[in-house]
Amino acid sequence: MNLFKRINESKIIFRIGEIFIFGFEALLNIFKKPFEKKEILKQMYEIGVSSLPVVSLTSLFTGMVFSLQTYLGFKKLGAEVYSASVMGVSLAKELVPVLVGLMVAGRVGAAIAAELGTMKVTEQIDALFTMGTDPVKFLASPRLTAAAIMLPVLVIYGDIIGLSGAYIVDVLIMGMNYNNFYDTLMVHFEVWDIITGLIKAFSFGIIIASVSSYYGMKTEGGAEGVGKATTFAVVTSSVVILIADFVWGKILPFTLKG
Amino acid sequence: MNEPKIKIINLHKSFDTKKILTGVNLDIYQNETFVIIGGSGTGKSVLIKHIVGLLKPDKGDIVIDGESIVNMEKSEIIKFVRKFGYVFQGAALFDSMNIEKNIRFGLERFYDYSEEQMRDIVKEVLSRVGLEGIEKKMPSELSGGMRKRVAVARAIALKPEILIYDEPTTGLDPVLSDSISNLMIKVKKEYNVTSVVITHDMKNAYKTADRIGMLYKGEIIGVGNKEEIMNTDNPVIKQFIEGNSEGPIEF
Ligand SMILES: Nc1ncnc2c1ncn2[C@@H]1O[C@H](COP(=O)(O)OP(=O)(O)OP(=O)(O)O)[C@@H](O)[C@H]1O
Ligand SMILES: [Mg+2]
Repeated sequence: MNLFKRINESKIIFRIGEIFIFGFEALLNIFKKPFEKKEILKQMYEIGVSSLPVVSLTSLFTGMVFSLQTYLGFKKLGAEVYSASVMGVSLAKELVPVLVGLMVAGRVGAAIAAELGTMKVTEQIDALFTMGTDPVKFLASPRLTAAAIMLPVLVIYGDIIGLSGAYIVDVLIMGMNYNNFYDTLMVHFEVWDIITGLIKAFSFGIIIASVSSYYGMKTEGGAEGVGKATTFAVVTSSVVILIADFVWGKILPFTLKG
Repeated sequence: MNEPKIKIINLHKSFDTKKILTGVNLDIYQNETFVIIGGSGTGKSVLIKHIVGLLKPDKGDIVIDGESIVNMEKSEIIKFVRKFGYVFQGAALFDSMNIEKNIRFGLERFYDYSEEQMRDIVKEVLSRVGLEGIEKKMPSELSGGMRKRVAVARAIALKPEILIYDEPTTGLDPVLSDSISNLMIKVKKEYNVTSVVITHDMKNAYKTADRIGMLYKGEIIGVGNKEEIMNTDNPVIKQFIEGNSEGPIEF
């Protein structure tokens, strides 16, 4: 009973509906004039630069840990030479996009919610409106565009760093022959694996920016409200990313084959 | 008298079950300064946010220059509100932009001014509010009083027909309050604007108002000019303007 009551009080169903409508409105506004190029570039820079350290670290260690575990697992079967084939595909299709998505949700999602939340409680968002500017179009849409562009870029970068991590472990530490590493990596690795990761990343970018802009722009109640909005933005983005990852896995045909 | 510039008709607004406005009726005429007084939390800010379409009423109508704004689409309202300049309670300067960019924000978006014309306008409005040479400062570097002045400068740069002030003097020392009152009078004269002012600073109200009305229990009561308000028999208004804690006003 208690759980139902809490679910009801959090208005989660209502929120999801609102976020969906909000995201849709922001998405439509991307294609209306004026295009806010300056804002988009600024946001791309912010998202890209602020995420680089965390994406580098996450991808490097994920690549290293995961390649080590697959190497050791395959070694038990005496097949360690094949470990790179599984490792590369999983990294590009699943691990890098999801972990980069979650990390950026924490880093960028929090920043967006805090910035817009502060603007809301200090009436800057109302000020935009009274100065003849649609706040959704001016604030949310450029963040959506920027995140949708930058997440795939970050994932490509993460793929490269992740594979470098795998190279460090497999070749430099475990002493696998480089040609062998390269050949087995390429046996199952297809361009579609990378594209799958990029499609996911693109959608994660849209999720992070819409959810976080929504919570930011709906903030009520001063500094405390900003804190709450930030937490909700990060938690909701992360959960939705995990769900979306699963859904993509089911509907993208090329994630099923091979 | 001619048609009112702003006509508020039987306006109702509740948040959840809390009734804030329960039938506000008010006419505000061209070129007048109308001051709304009322206790904290009675819904003064809520009322004026309806005038610019930031809030939608549950019931009632708002007619500006003969056009009803309550049923307008969001995109229509956003165009329409360019008639207004709004000086927010906390100034609401964009804190990611310096003062010049704050003032240029609307100019760049809606006018075809050249770079030089824009610089001149910024300079001019800043000198009107007595703050020359602060173009490159950030809002966080200014005091509260300076920020309010910049907010006025930002509003008048766009040549509004109607200026709305939400508590322009709250939180300022008496001398600064008086200088803001003078600024409001000057702006009214030089820009020919209709002004709607919210305040509970009676000095500011008497100094700037052509007419005064009090928001009490969700309605506007006792509209009148300065003398009428000063000599009112209405016990609620009397208590409020004299600042007594004893009387009919419930907390
Ligand atoms: N968006 C909102 N959601 C819910 N309640 C609100 C909202 N905006 C205002 N209120 C409530 O409406 C009431 C009136 O608020 P308002 O800000 O208009 O008061 P005010 O008269 O301007 O007071 P003050 O002098 O303190 O600024 C308050 O009780 C406030 O809690
Ligand atoms: Mg107020």
